[in-house]
Amino acid sequence: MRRVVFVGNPNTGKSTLISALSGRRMEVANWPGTTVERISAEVEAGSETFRLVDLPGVYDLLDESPDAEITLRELVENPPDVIVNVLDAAHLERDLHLTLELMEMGIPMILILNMVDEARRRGIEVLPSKIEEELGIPVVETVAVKGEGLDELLSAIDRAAIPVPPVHYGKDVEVAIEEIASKISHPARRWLAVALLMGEERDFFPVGASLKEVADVWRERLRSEVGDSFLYMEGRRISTARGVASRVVFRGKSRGMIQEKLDALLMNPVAGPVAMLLFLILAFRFAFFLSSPWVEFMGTLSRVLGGWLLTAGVDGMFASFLIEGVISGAGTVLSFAPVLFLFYLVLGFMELSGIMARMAFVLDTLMSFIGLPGKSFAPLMMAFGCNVPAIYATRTLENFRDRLKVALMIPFMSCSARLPVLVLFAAVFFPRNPVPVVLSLYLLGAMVAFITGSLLKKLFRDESPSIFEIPPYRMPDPGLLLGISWSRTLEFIRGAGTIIVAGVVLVWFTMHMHLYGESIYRLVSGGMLPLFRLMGVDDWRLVGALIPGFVSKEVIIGALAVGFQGAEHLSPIGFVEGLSMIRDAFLDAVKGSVEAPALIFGIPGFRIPPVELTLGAHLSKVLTPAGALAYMVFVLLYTPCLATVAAIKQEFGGRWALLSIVYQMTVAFILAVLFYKIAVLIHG
Amino acid sequence: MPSGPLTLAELEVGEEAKILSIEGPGFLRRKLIYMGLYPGTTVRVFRKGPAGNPVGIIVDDVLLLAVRRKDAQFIKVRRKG
Ligand SMILES: Nc1nc2c(ncn2[C@@H]2O[C@H](COP(=O)(O)OP(=O)(O)OP(=O)(O)O)[C@@H](O)[C@H]2O)c(=O)[nH]1
Repeated sequence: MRRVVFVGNPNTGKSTLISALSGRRMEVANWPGTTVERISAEVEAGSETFRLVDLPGVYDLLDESPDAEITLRELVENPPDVIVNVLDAAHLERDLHLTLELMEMGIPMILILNMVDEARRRGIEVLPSKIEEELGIPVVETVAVKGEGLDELLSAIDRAAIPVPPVHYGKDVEVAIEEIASKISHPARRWLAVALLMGEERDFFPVGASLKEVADVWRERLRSEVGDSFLYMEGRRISTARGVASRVVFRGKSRGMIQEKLDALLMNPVAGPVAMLLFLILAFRFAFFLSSPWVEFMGTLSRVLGGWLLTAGVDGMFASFLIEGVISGAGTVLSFAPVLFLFYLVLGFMELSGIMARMAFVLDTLMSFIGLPGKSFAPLMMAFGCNVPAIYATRTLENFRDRLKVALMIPFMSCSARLPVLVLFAAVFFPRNPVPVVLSLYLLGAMVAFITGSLLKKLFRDESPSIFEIPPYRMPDPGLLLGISWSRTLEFIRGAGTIIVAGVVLVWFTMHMHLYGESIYRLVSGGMLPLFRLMGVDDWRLVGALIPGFVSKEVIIGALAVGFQGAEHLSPIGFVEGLSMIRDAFLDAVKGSVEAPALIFGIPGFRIPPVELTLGAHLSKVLTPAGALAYMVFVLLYTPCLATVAAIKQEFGGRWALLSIVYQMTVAFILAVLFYKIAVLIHG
Repeated sequence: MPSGPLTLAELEVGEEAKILSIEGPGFLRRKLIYMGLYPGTTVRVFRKGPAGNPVGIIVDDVLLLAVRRKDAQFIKVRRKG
């Protein structure tokens, strides 16, 4: 089976091509050892099977981005059988730059002119036969989204040949290249020799230290001739690309781009940010309202499973362990899944459609205050819905430090799971103006995030140049979009799932294991109480609820209710009864999803269920308004949930996950105490 | 006004220019070249962001790029027509 890798500039349609070639049966996985997602598929062509692999989009193999390093490393360490170089026909000249480099790698290669539909609309006609003549390798035109040219692509793979390197670097330099290349036994010897002469090296280059010295000597010797060898070689590639492009590209009249009108709105300095904000809010409300009926469905599902266990005669400690530990743990994980899936759809749509780049454009100034590119606004906004996908959404940023910075800011953005807690406390303790109180808390969270960003800006210093491409508006391929979102969701269930279940089980143990006649849970909460007294919280049950709240904020109210009112007992459920409960819950969820679009434009009401009102009465006996405010501030700012921690660990490693927990706890504690003291000062 | 060569950062929306040279630190110069901004290409400022940042440009009539003003200062240009 031949390995065929797809290489090209970002956004040229590599993933869409593989998805289309495989009949949308592609796999999405992370590139080994990284969080870079790539698509691959096995495709049969005639009697042969190809393994198609998507490499990260790069502008140049020597670019210093992590994506470029992955691609280059793969080509050097694990040379494929065939390179499929994908180009955007609309800007051939720029894209050819990479092509010319790839042609020095000594690997059989074909060229794909994708997006010819778009190029034509802009009056650009490229002649594939002419490029074939110029470069001597097969060239195929495709429109990946419409599936045009796919058969030709597959048959061209058979005609792939090792290219003759097209760039000539001048007589003297060629002598040097020849000499260095003759000492390299790797197929990419010419490319490697050129790279060494440009003064570039990577630890994975298959060349010895002595050869590097030889190259350095040559570079010095050539200096009088060509000046800075790096710029000189780049210059030769540029002029070769320009020469080829000038002979194969024909420009007619552009039929105009519809996008100008949309750009006038979305990229307007005033209307743009407003429109983007509205779009984001609507998109996330859409994801939220569409998924919340399914969250309820998951709740019913785990209650029925628990009931069945009781009916089946599993009881005592073990039943409690299975029901409250394992099932509710898995339920927590699964209830995240629909939210995540929809968030990923929205995010993926924004990225693939070109909307994200416009958003980066209008918000670039704002984000530059905290040393971040404009794009980083999206994960931060997303965090208002749910922090977990927001952490994964940092993947859209290229620079590791930028990603980390955003990931440390995200947990302070109040997610939807914190809202019920804030609403309950605001309604009970500030009955005259609960809404302003909740909104101010949201603002506080955003401010803490922003301050975190500014601090990190000082700490990290280096600011990567923010240059980005604004692709034309495009309709994303639905199959690709669904495939990517689905595989990202699965990845979450696998990765974060185990940590969450482990956390829930651990909390269960602390509640049911006893020391000196008291549950560990009670002892720990009691032990931490003196700290919380500093913020006017003087009841162990309030402190205790924060422990499962660390696993997920959704359960805080439940834990408070159990603490103050005693647990609600699961009751046995018959098999048939359970099935009909699941069916009803399913139908409700379907109905809820159908009604969701209508809710998007509505204003969320602060509606408090009656059960929580009696809880409110209990709470008002043990807390003053000042203490309640401090408690809300703490809940707002302390570690959002174990899933977020797991996501940070998956993306950045355990050390950063731990550091972020410590940081959030410290900030939450200090600000809660501060707010308490100030509130007491003002109100006596 | 110093009469040094004009930079991309100084162009107004709608103005067109040819890139003469790219200066500044090596990593920036490379990044710009890799993205398609190199001497000889034609650039037109088609839009600027809030407070004039970033600068949105069209390269050779086809490629839309956004560059922050402080990076655009390193791109020396000659105004066209
Ligand atoms: N009009 C048009 N759009 C296309 C074509 N091929 C892909 N697209 C769209 O272009 C966008 C980018 O496609 P991708 O397949 O994600 O590009 P990629 O090269 O894999 O991008 P990276 O993963 O960033 O390297 C998507 O919205 C596609 O739907 C095409 O031939 N014509």
